[in-house]
Amino acid sequence: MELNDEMLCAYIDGELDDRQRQQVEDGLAADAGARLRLARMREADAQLRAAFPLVTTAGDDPLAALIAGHRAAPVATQTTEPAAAAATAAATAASMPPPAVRTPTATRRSWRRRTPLLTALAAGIGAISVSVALLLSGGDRSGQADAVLSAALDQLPSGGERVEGGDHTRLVLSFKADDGRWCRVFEQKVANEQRDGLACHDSQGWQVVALETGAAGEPGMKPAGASASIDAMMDRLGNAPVAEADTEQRLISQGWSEPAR
Amino acid sequence: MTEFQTQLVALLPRLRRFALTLTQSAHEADDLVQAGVERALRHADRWEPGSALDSWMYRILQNLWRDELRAHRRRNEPLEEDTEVMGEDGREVNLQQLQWAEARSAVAALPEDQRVVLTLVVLDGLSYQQAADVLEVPIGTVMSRLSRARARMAERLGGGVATVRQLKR
Repeated sequence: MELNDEMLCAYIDGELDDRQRQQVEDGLAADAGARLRLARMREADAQLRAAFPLVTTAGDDPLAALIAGHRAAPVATQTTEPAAAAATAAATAASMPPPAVRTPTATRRSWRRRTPLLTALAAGIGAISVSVALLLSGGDRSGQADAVLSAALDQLPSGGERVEGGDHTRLVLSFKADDGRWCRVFEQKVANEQRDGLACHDSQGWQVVALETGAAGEPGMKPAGASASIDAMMDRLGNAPVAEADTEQRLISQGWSEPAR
Repeated sequence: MTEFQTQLVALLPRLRRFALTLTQSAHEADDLVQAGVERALRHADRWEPGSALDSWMYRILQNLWRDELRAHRRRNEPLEEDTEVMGEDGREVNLQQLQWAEARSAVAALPEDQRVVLTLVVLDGLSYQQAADVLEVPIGTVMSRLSRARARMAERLGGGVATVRQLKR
């Protein structure tokens, strides 16, 4: 029988049934050229395998940690689970090496774990549904903060921080609300006030939909649950995962108004 | 961890190797695997437990590479050396390393569709049917791509024997 390359390949790969295999072997016995081609294919296979070994990552694998730390989106709201989730996130974060890979898909619950800038929040005072305009009413300093905040929300990628006039603004994460708006969690340190906030973009621009303030200072004293109103608002806005860096970049360049794919 | 997560972690080395042969760049392979894992986690509910996770993941990587990543990236960046070759002694260029380098450049010279089939069948041991499912092509296409890829690899790597053509039909 003729032994073309497809036949030899199928023979090498064990894709032939008994009868076909016997035919190939009979053919090989009578065909030195085919035997040579077969030998060279096997040799090439061996070299290919040697050149592309399976590499098991030594030590911590950030991607494996990302997978292990992933939680499926909860179906219903839950009130007791966040503590456990935060503990898991903290354990994951602790075991992770310096970020060789970005981890945008970390659960939104763990957002505070990634924000070393603002550690102090003595008392959480919920101020839900405050708009940027309300911040404006606080005097000229608030007005400045508004401009600064809007610009930061427009332009900064998550993890990015801007300092203007001694005030810090830092973006924590972005996600798409179920109603289609893009929303961002931010932190500010303005004068002696710490602010944790959540703003969503609509046709009017950025609206702060949740804000918590507290006195700055006392690093590390931010109590668990201090950002409860922000967590609650994030839950109300849906369970979409944190936007990835490339998505953010696209939104930044498009002004946050484009509906996500 | 869920069964899905456990399997995905176990699959990472194979995904990385697949991405490496697909993209021909260690850097792009990392990006591709990362993007693939993120997509998989978002769409974990679409995976049917019990079905082959590797095929599912390969398809995700293939589609990502075809549809999104490749369009924005430079092409034909040479495969970064050193990332795969780990000599015991940096001074010595031994025969083994030369062979590895030769094998990698032989793979790099293949058209992408042939490279992918070669990876799935020879490196990962997928059956022709599984490879056809991953690539969403007929099994005959897998066979013809594979045989062409192997013939070219054999030509370059098969040793110092005179080239024998397959014209015995």
